[in-house]
This record gives sequence, C-alpha cells and structure tokens, in this order.
Amino acid sequence: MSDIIEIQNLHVQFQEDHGILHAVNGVDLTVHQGETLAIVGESGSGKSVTTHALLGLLGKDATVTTDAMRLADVDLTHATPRDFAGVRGRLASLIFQDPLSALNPTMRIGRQIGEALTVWHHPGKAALRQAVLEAIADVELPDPALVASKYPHELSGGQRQRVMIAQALIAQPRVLIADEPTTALDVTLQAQVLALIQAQKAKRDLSVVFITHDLGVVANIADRVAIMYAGQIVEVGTATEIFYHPQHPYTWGLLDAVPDDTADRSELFTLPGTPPDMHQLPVGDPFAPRNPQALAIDYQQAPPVFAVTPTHRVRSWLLDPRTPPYQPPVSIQRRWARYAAIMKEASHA
Amino acid sequence: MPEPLVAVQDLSVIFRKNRRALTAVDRVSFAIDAGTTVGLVGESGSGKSTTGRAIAGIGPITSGTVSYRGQVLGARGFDRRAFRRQVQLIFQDPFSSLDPRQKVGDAIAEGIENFRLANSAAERRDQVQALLAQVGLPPDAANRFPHEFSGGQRQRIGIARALAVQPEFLVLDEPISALDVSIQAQIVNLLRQIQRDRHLTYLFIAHDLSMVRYLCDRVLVMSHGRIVEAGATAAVYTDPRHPYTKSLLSAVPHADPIYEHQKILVPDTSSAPAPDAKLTPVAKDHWVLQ
Repeated sequence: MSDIIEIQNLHVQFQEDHGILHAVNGVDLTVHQGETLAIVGESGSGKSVTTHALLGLLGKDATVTTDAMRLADVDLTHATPRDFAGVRGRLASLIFQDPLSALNPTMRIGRQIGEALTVWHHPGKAALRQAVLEAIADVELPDPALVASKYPHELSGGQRQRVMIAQALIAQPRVLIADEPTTALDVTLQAQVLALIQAQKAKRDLSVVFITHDLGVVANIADRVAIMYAGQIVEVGTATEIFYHPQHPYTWGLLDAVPDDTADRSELFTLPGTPPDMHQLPVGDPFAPRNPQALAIDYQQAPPVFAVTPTHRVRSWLLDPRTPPYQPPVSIQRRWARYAAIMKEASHA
Repeated sequence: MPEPLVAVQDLSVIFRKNRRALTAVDRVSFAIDAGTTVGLVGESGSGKSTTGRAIAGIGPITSGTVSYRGQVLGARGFDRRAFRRQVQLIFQDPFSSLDPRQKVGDAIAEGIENFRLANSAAERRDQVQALLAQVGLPPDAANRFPHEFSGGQRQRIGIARALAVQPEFLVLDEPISALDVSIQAQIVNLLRQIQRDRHLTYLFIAHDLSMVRYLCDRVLVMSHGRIVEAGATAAVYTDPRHPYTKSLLSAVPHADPIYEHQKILVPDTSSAPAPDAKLTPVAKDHWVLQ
C-alpha cells in the first residue's frame, strides 16, 4: 500500500511570552492511500498542530523542524509558504468544527464554493456554475440552486457543515483533513456527517485524516488510529488493535472514560491528574504522573517505541520484556478477550 | 407517596421577537423526587436548557407552574431567598460565570457571605478550604485567579461555588460537554461522590446519551419543546418507543468498531407532535407522547 502522507520526526515549538511551548515532540506519521486515519487526543496534545504543520498553517511564532514531510508527490520538508499555498485545497483540504467561522457571512454559498475551485482552475461561467451545483448535490443537500443562492446564516448547522465539505472537495483534493468536524453537532447530525464523509471517501478515493477526542466516532470511521499525548504518538495501530488490544495505559483511560451500555453504576475508571505543562515537560515519560502502572524508569527515561505487530506500535515501558507482569483494568481485559476471539476467527477463515 | 422536591406543571415558555412567537417549551409536566438524578436529553433547540433555566428560577415562564417543596415559584408567599440558596445552576463553561479579576477563594466565599453561612472570617476561610478539598483542588487555589486553571479545574471551582451555599438541588446544564474525555469522567465521579455525601438532587441536562444512561435514575426526552418520552432510564434505553428517541439512541456512537460497522441508523420519522398528544403510559414507569 502506498502512502499519501509521510511525516518523520516532526517538532513544533511556539515562542510565547513566558517561554517555549513544546507542542509536537517527535511525531512520525504515515497515511496510507485511501484509508481513514484518526488522530485522537485531548486539548493540547498536538493533534491539530501536527496537521497544521503539514498544511503550512502555523503562524510566525511557530518553529517547525522535520526530517521528512511529504504530501502525495510533493516534498514539503523545506517548504516555503508559497509551496504550502500550492498544495492547500488542491492536494489536501481542511474542514473543522465551526463552519460559520470558515464561511464568509456576506457572500452567497454558491460563490464561496466556486472560489475554492477558481483558485486552481478557470472554467467558463456556465461550467463553474455546473461544478458548484454538482458539489452541493454531492453533499446531499436538496435543491442545490436554492442553497447556492443563500447566505451562511440562512442555513442550519448541519447544512453549513455540508457546505464546508462541498467547498473542501470541489477542487478534487487527494486528502481531506477533518478537525473535529462533528464535535459541535447533535448525535443524529453527527452520524449523518460521518456517513457523508465515508460516502465521499469511497466515491473519490480520498484519504482522510480525522482529528477527534471521541472514540465512539473513531470506532465508526477509522481504519487506523493514532493516540497522541503531550505532543507524541503514544500508540498507533489498526482500529481492531486499538479498540480490542490496546496496550498504552492512556488508551485504556480514554476507552474507559466513556461508560458503555453494560457499565454498572460503580465509579468510572479515570486517569488521575491533568496533562503536563507543555512549557516544561517532565524528565522521562510525560504520562508517568497519571499512569497507575508507572514504573521507576518512567520517571527517569523516556520510553522507546515497541512494536506489538508490524502495524501496532506503543511508546511505553510496559511493553519492555523486562517489565514485571501486570494486569490491565477488567474492562480492558474484556477487550483483549474479544481480540483473541477475532484473531482466532481470522485464522480459521 | 412523599411529595416530589420539584414539580413542573404544564410549563410553557414562549419567546416573542418581531411579532413572531417561538414556543421553546410546550406544556411540559414532570416531577423530580428528592435524592434522585433526572436526565433531560434532546438536541439543540429542543427546549431542554430553557426548561432547566425556568426550573432554576432564572428563565422566563410564560404559563404553567414550577413548584419547589410544594411552593409555587413566584407565587404570593414564595420564599425567593431560600429558593436562591437551595437551587444552584452549573453551566457548561464555568469560566464565563467567573469574574477574571476575583480570586477563586473570594468567588467561592461570595455565597457564604450573601447568605451569612459563616459566623466569622476565619470560619468562612475554613469553609472555603473544605470546599476546595471536597472538589479536589489544592488549598492554594483560593489565592489564584480563574485563568490559572484548566477547564476541568474551572468546572471544579464552579461546583465548589455552587456547594458553598449548601444547596439541595443542582441543575447541571451540560456540565461536562466542554471538557476533555479523561477529565469528563473525573467530574462525573466527583458529582456522584458529592451527591452521596450531601444527599443532593440533580437535574442533568445533556446531549451525551451514554453519560445520561450511566448517571440518571430517570430520563426525559425532549423534542420540539415537548417531552416525547419519559421513564426509568433502563426502560427508555432498552425499549425506546417514540420514533425520535429511537433515532437518537441509534445514533449514539460506541467505542466498538464491530458494533459501529453493524449498527443501523433509525431515521427520525416523527413530525412535530400533535397539539393534543399526551404522555401516555406504555409500560411500567414508562410514558410516551401520543
């Protein structure tokens, strides 16, 4: 499988009044052609900054260094703002949580969607109108001509989210980066937007990077999942590996923080504490102070990456062969049991 | 049967703007028993927050009544001052309700002062310290300003502030939806701990249906300003009857790819409820608008 995105050893720092914020600290990321990769993390984990670095959207206060960065066939390792402008919208588009802030309130929908195309191509007037109406029909909005004539405030939140997707896809990019696109939506609208992204992906052979903190959404759409904490990817694997064979205690905490249908009304398992101060990262594993399973070495030395399978990698000392035996929480043991059953079934098939 | 702590009878809230009337809450009736947690769910615009604000005494009531301990809100002889202490509201974003220039300790002490719940400055300081400890904040938090805290810690401050006046009933309006996942669970555990310790009653307004299922004894489902389904949480979640509830529950995401790939979304086939529709019992402790 070829890779549409490749990032090696990405670091991003922000110069702030009271010091340097270490937002991304050595991220390696690949996105396979045609897959949906979910990047999961909490506020400040570096998930949005990583994709903004890829699109050249970080401001002057950011220092970006990387060993390699590639989008499709364009090498962005030493890209200038001009180089980034040449790929945004054409090779990769971004949609985010609040479409109202992305749309111009004084411009009709049709013209805004059209502008996303005329940056790159110069179709005739009739061809442009045709392309805009098709883009609107594509995102399953009824009566495209009517929608095109409206202003953003005349549409509902779900309709605006669809318009933003139409705008992102009209120039036929190869990658769609969706940054929490459904977080502000109610569950039924969220389910519709997820289905729409899935349909567009299948139709256009898009690759999708989906940024979210909601593991329920990830379970719905992701082929692979990268879990971020304190500016690093702490666990990455196929959706099956992350949901049924999770290895990092942070992933356990995220999975357990959402009560499932079978949860009795005992206390929810929670990770203690809060994420670290990204101005002053601790020595060792930045997750150690919140890790119920932390070992002495966690406070002294940052863990390397351990491979569980060729597709499943974990940054935690728990995976070191010298680590004494340990038990994950019961709910995670249940997930492991399902993984064993899935693997057994797969080997019989 | 003991009297419910809160009784809402035919509550309607109508907003008028430019000669147009918008019925946000439409003849809603329900009761909340002391010591229980009732969930109020529905999509944005369903009227759930407007209902919560009316019950907490800070939102308009167009018609109908809200009674607290048998006393009708706003009626002659209603003890507004006692009500203001007994009923507290917790919002989604505690930051917007905190004065950025006021130290956290002073913000918490404000209610204690207003209701004269301490006999001396020293006693008030002790109460503030006890509240900080109860919500899991360090003692020195009292001398710091709101911006020095993370979202989860600010929600803890908001909870300490509400508890300062020794309330009986908390209206929790989306108290965790702005927080990160691992912090949400911490706050939910804290709310349950406090409820046990202080025998509080909660109205939990949320769109997160998994958390409502986990936290609530009873659930009310709102759509178009009306309660379309109500009952014991287990009854409503395992056997939803109204098309809107079915659609809502089918859309709840689960952290389980096999489930997600097999799930079938139920489209919402319900139209605006008929004006004469009534909540009708369909099973034990389970009502549907029909």
